[in-house]
Amino acid sequence: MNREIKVEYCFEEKAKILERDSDKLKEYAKHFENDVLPEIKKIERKKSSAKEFAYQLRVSGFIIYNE
Amino acid sequence: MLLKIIDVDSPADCMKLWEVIPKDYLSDSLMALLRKVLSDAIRSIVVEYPYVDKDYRSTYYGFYSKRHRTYDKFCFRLHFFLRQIESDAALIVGRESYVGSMVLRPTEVATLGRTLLSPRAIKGFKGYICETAFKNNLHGLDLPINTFPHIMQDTDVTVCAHAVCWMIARYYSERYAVYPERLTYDIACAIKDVSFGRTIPSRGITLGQVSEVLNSIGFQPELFIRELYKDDEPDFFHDVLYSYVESGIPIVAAMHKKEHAVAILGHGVLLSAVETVKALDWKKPFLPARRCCPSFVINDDNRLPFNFICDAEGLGDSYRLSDVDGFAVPLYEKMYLSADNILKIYPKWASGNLVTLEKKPTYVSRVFMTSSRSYKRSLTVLQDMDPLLRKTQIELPMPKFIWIVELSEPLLYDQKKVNYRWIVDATANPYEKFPFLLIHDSEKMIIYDRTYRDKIYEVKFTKRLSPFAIFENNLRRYT
Repeated sequence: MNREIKVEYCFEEKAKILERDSDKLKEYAKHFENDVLPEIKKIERKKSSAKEFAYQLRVSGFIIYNE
Repeated sequence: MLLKIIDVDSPADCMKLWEVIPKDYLSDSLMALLRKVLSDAIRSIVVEYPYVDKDYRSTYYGFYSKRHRTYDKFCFRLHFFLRQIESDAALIVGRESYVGSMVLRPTEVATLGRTLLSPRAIKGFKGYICETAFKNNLHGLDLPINTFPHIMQDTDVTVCAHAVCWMIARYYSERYAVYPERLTYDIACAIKDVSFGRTIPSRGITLGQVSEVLNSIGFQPELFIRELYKDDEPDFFHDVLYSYVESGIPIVAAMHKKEHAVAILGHGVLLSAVETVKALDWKKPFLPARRCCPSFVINDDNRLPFNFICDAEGLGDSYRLSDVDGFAVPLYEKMYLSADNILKIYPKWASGNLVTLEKKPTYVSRVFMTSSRSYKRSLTVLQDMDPLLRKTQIELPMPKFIWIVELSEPLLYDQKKVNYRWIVDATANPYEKFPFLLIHDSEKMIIYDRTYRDKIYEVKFTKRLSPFAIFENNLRRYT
């Protein structure tokens, strides 16, 4: 079976396709490399060491209301 | 069976429970808690005995039956009503005023078992919580109750962190068929790392072991440790926590110095954003909505449900938010992008000129996750959103879970309105340049159809966008 199913979103008629190499997306991509990526790398490093720290956070049981 | 119906005119009438319940089940200290915390509006308590509680029975067969001392296999169960119940025949009439139940175990120490109390049963409770529907049965009559479950540690098999895992597990198993029901003994046996010694009787567990328990139930827990965020802005750790709570995801908060764990399942009454901006003399472009949230709702297994943990002295009487050293978030498998990532990424869409926000001194930013199903359902009844923006979001293929970033001028935030709402794919990779599905400003929207066409579109609105209503489906508000 070879048939094309036509799908059209409500916005497509008015839409302009932004190509990946368009000025707008290229400008943001540069901004991302410089400003966002370093922050994300830092965050991902934190998360990778969270497990070791978590095994040091001991939570014991105790009963306050009986004191 | 229905043992006794107790008329309650004031909290002191709870003492009448001792006429039928031995102190092995209902200690002086637990009685003091009931008298202090239960709502003055409760008019009847129905005492049920013998009650077979599946959670207590799991620890009975796994542990208590192995002790030399004899323990009762049965529990008491108390049912609370806001109207007077004259007799068992009147139960059906009183059904609408039902505010929940609590199980009393025969364990002498920490006897409060499975507790399904509505916030309406708690004196003066105001706040927003995760809740789901439970159904009790008394005398053949179904008694529905909406709440978040609570239980006390028994100090033998379970400690506070087990109790918190149980609360979260039971909330999810009752709400979503995909999660299995786990009884208290199953929770205690779920720990695989025994390097800290024997697991039963329990001497306490670590946050890492909490993660193992949550994993055994089918979650993919994400761990956040305060120590690792100390070089960030001072409150970033709390902003991350708030995002998950606002997402309707209950979390396990670990307090190492207090040697305790609690479930955070909602937040207290919100402050005015206009006042907060003034009080903090806030000058940055975005004010995290967390700053308008001075308290979180907790279930502390040492107490009755629905307490508070605060920034400073206030509603919470035992703990400060600064006591939370780490927390575990029980995430669904397909929630990949974490809150700390999204909190760092969204401000850059404006500064990177993808969208142009109207110049305002600050926007309140509310960042949370929800299911695309719940989100699209909310759109169908949203009247004040631009029709094209609304229809676009309903049509656009979305993953099961999405992150939402809502930006509001402070005055609009106080009126529960937003200027902008951005939708982000929760299955995105944090290193992706364009993880969003839809972002917009007042003039245009940028739509990324990530799955069907793999194309990015820009669409101009025919008229300037007006503010629309905030999304509020994740938590239930009690005022």
